[in-house]
Formats: sequence, C-alpha cells, structure tokens
Amino acid sequence: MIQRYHEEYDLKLSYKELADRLGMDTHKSPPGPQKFREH
Amino acid sequence: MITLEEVHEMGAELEGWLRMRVHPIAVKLLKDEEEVPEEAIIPTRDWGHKYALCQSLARSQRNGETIAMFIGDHWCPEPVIGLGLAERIPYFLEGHHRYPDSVRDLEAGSKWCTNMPFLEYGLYKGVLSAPVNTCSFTPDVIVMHVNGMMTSQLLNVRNWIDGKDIHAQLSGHAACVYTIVPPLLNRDCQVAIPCKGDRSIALAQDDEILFSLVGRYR
Repeated sequence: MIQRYHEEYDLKLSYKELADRLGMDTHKSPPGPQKFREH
Repeated sequence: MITLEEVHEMGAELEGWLRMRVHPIAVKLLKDEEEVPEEAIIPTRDWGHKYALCQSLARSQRNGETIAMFIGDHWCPEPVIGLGLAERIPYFLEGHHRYPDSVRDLEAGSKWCTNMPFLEYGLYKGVLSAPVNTCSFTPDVIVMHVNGMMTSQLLNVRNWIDGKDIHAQLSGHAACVYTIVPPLLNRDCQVAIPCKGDRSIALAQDDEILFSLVGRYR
C-alpha cells in the first residue's frame, strides 16, 4: 500500500513518514501532477 | 491603513506594469476557520483531496481561485511546519525526511531543517490565497512568480523606498516557506527560488523566481 502511494502520488516515503507524525492524515489522497494539469 | 480597493488597484497596476504571466498572489495567515471567506475553496472539503501549498498558490495566480488550507488540506509537510501549523518535532529537526534523498548525511539534513524559516507554532491554523486584484481580504504578504527583468524592476523599487537592498535566505527546497515566512518575520521584501515541487507540480517556469512584498518596511 505504501509503495502504491509512492507510485501514484509521487510523495516521497520520507515525506509521508514526517506528514504522518505531524498528524496530516496522509490517507486522504493528493492529486497527481497530471490531474492538476487537467484543471 | 490601506483599503481593499487600493490593494486591488495596486495589484492590477503592478501586474500590468510588469506584464506578468500570472496574477500576484495575496496570502493571508488564518487564526481561525471563521476567517475563511465565503467564496474560498477548501481542498479536502470541496475537491475531496489534499493539495500541496505550491499547487494552491498556482491555482490562485493562474485560475483566480481563493483557496484556504488547514493542516488536513496539505500533503507536503514542510509548509505545515514552516507556517507554524504543526510543531517542529524531533523527527523533522533531525533531518530524517531529507536524508538520504537530498542531503549527503543526516547532519546536513538536520542543519537544513533547523535553519528552515518558521513561524511560531500555534499562532496560525491555516493559509489563504487569492489573486491580489480580486482578493476579499487584506493580504499579509504578496507573492509573485517573476522573471529576471521583473525582479530587477522590483528591486529598483525596493531601493527607491529607502535605499536598502534585500538580504535573502535562499534554498532549493520549500519555496512556499521561503517566500512567505521571511517577509513576515523581517517585514521586508524577499526573493526565493522555486523548489522541485513548485516547478514539477505547480508549473513554475524555469526562468522564474519568487518575489514577496509586505506592506511595511523596517
């Protein structure tokens, strides 16, 4: 699951670890770059 | 006290004078969710997913959207710490999220993390952005993506005010932090460098840097 998160959303695992420790609830997905460009 | 109408007029004049690619961005730090304007988008509430702060700033400057982000709306952790939305926990200060990807050892990671500009934890709960020519709030800081020519013009204006130059803390990381936090701490203009995120997912151009304005100078 963590690997999938990394591949789909390009969020470095070390960033995810920090974000989790900060209480940012990383299970809510961010958009990938392509999705952003579609807007 | 500057009025909102004057902010809009000066923002439009600045944008036209510099022939900017995108709008200057009005940025305000929020102490409470009640400060969120009615028209504002909150990414997790309205789009169903998180955003990086650089992406929200990009949407404000390009699409003209007003966007409010609280800790649960961010997926990049550095602005969460830099804006004081979370504490500078030991895991961050020890540099673990930077090593080994972007520093040669943990000591270098810790050095960078310790030196990253930050606002005191607990002062603010969120950040709000909108184009400066239409914003419905008085900005704390105005952030602009500018090229070399525009930077030169803005620096000349800065010198014209009182003769002082800009002394900037520069990094290739965390552009959102380096462009928002130092101007608030130092009450002066700032230049910053678009980071990997700002360029790769928020579409900052290769010939651009960031220039920040605040309302009062020391």
